[in-house]
Amino acid sequence: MDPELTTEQKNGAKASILVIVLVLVLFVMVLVAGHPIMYFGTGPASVVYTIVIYTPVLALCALAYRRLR
Amino acid sequence: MLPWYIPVGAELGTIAIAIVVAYAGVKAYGKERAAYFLAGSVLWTSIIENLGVLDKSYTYYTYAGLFGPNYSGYLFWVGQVPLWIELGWVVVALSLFVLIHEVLLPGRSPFLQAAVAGLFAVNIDLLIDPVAVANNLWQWINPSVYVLGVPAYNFAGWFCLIFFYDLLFNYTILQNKPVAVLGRIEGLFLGDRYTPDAKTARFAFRLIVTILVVAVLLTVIAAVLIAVAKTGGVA
Repeated sequence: MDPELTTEQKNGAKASILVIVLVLVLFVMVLVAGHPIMYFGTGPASVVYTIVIYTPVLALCALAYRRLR
Repeated sequence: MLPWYIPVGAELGTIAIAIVVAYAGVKAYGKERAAYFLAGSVLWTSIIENLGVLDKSYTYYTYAGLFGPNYSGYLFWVGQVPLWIELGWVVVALSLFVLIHEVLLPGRSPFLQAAVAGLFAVNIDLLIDPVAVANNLWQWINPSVYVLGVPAYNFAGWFCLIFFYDLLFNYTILQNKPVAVLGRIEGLFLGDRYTPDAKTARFAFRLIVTILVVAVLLTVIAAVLIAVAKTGGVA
């Protein structure tokens, strides 16, 4: 992390992590409320796909959060 | 017909998240630079998205008539594109920009930073787009090589949009640096306004140039994939 990052900037970065998590949550809600991902039908494949796709971006958020603490 | 709360939730939810990302941008970069990012990215994505609609690649009128014959499907529009689509793009672009430039890869090569942001944007869109298409939030029309029900050029588009906008904002607003290749052309077009402090004029000029470059690039990629789909029978 940049040692010159101010408290304000850290708050901005934390809010950015929150934003990405909210986007993921919003689309999981759409997924749950509507049709599952068409390509994978209605089975558990949709859930597996979601987990696989979310893992890298959640790892990015986790790493960023760790550096900000 | 899918439940009404899917388009309403997607639109209002994205607008709410956009308010949070605006807060993040202001905290990370101050009001002025955050305003540049927001205004520039809404303008940038509005033009590219509207070109996509005019080109009949996709449509956003899938929920038209939901609350009456005059209801176009969403509350706020910029041309033929709902505002929440532009804001969704801003949300992904700005949050990734802050995290990659300030926390994860500070001081690294701008091209590396932009490329990583582009890859993570594609990662996020790999869920957004298939879910949105399955729920009719938008509909792809063109024949193309499809991946998970979405044309492959869409993912190339996400990478290009984030990659180029990242570089544009970084060089023009954060660093406010002249770019060797563009310097003479900028001087030619901007004339007396081309001064070291002419951030707005330079940003606007570079924005237009980058939009043209990206539009041409994406048109070529889309055309190749459409041709592949037509010859190979992939719809």
